[in-house]
Amino acid sequence: LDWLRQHRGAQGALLLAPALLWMTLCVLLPAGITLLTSFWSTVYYDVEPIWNLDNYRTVLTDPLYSETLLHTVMVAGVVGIVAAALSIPLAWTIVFRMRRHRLLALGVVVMSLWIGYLLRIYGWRLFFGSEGVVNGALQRLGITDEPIRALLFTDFTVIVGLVHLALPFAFIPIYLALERLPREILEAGSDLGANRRRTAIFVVLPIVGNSVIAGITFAFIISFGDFFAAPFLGAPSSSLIGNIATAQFGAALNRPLGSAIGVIMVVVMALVLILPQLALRLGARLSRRRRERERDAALRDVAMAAGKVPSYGAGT
Amino acid sequence: MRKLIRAISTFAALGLVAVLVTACGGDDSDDSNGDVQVQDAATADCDALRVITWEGYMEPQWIKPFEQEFNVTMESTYTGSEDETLAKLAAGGDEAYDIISTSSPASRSLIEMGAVEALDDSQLSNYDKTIEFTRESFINDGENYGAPYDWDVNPFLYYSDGVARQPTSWEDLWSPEFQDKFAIWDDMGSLYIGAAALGYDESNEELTNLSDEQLDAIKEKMLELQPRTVWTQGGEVTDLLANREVIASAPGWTYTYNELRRRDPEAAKNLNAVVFKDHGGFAWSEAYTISASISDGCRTKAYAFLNYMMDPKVQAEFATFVGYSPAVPDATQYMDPATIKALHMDDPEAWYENALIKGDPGPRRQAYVQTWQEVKQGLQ
Repeated sequence: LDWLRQHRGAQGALLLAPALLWMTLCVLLPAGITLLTSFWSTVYYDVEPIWNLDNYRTVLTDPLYSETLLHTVMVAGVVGIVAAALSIPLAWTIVFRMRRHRLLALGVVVMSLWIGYLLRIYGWRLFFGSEGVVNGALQRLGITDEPIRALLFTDFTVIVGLVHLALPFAFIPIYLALERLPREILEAGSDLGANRRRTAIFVVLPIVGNSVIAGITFAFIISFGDFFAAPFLGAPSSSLIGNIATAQFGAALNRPLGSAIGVIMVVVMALVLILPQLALRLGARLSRRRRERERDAALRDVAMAAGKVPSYGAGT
Repeated sequence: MRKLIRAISTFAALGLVAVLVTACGGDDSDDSNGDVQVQDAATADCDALRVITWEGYMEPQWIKPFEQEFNVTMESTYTGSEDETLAKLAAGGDEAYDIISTSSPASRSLIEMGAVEALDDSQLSNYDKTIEFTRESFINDGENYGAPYDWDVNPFLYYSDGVARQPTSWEDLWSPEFQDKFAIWDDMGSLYIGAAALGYDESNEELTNLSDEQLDAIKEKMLELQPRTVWTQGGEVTDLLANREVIASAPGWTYTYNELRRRDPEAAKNLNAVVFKDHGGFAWSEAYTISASISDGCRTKAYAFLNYMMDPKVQAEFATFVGYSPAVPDATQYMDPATIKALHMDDPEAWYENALIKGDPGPRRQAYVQTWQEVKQGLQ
């Protein structure tokens, strides 16, 4: 123990060891095996280490895989945007409008995570079904004579189910960002003449923008990998790329092709994580340059008005 | 103190001898199977048999007596689908199981991937009691790999009050009155509906060896269908029909038909389960197989289990519980008339006479799965 006390590096290594072991065994090793397998082939029922790019070629060129991948990106994108769009006013209301029962409201939002995912999916079936809540209400109110069948087993229902799944994950970063927002900034906006809407759009949103993007990203990733909602809530053609990958590992007994789909899914998710950050950094840099240019122009105007050219020294 | 320890030791030793004598005596006097094999199986070096099968197939009422008789614990793993079982075994999972339940749509792959071993039929005294067609899917290159325990023909389920004209063939599924009103099984075997409609169902061999051109033709034909949704589990299609989300299921399961009639006989009075005569139905059977990685000690007990599950009395109990037809017709001696009729055991030949076995395409499996996925993605 004395030796351990004297060696801070060893202390760090010891503390990191369980997490590293977990990451290695449960994340890196399976991911590595998946990556390797994606470059191999299935010969009859066995996976043979015959190196090739055929699986990737198939996924990217065969319409079954490429179009389903594109469809999944679009569905997950819609889910991400809708989940964030619902989370912003919800979080805003809880943070700025609710003085009492805030914890209760938070609990209600997060509570959906306590309920099993399949149960929630079945819940939507009951909600939109022919004898479900919506159709029952419409018929009782005399708005419709018979159930609207188009409510269930459509892409719309899949998106509803996925938004329900992803909403808490989009909500949490947005809520945390709003909660940490200094109230003085809102007051400053108000003092400078901005109404609430202008303050929300031009003051608050740029500050919490990163968190909104994080919320969209989380919701996207959660729904992009899903393979339950489509078969339970969608039409036959609503299958997502996760369903196609599952079939490769199951019925088709083609693990290399399933692995290639998995790797491409990881690449898409990585791009979704990285691209918004790059865009934000680029936006921030452009914004900084624009501000610098505006400042330079203003200084130049002042100098010209004073009849001399400004000298830029340290601290300017 | 020493005296006390010595007394306890002596008592324990005497107790152990008494237990051994009782156990041996029990085997000798047990004449339920009455042969040396039972004694061998009961004393074989194997504490537990690991089985992968369906939920509901390892119920205490028939498993407990086996465990007691053969001095073994049955450790069950439940699978969600045949595909899941195959995937586990293809990934090397055969070492995790001693006994594997399989069915005709998956048996060929299971056998050809080498996950199970050929059986010695002379050790299965009940094997000859099974219906012959239930055995066919488990015979490969003249060797038997499976002990069949149940079978059925997947019927077309529909509500007669939901259609103006009663369907008489799979072709009727393409008629406007079924469009957007039926559910289709999310299984590559659903391609056989298209195959039947196009006349590619002359034989089992033809069904499981469809060419790329035939699969393309099936795809084109099936893309004209308009199912409302797909289903994967029996409970799902049962709910879809119970809630009238759909008026038909192509194909359905007898289990679903019986379950709906049990739940609400009045609501299910217009529900029909038909096997089309002109195309034949798609029959299947299930069997227990023995893992290629089983130990010698457990092999003896595994044979005992396979034989036990084909015992007419056990068959009756099992079939009555799970709702599928027993592979052994003698089981009807122990079944009530209503169950015998519900499971088509009053005239089993009439139920499967036109049926083709819903077989395993084996090496063509990937092409079949791809075609089914393309059909699904293209359906409106």
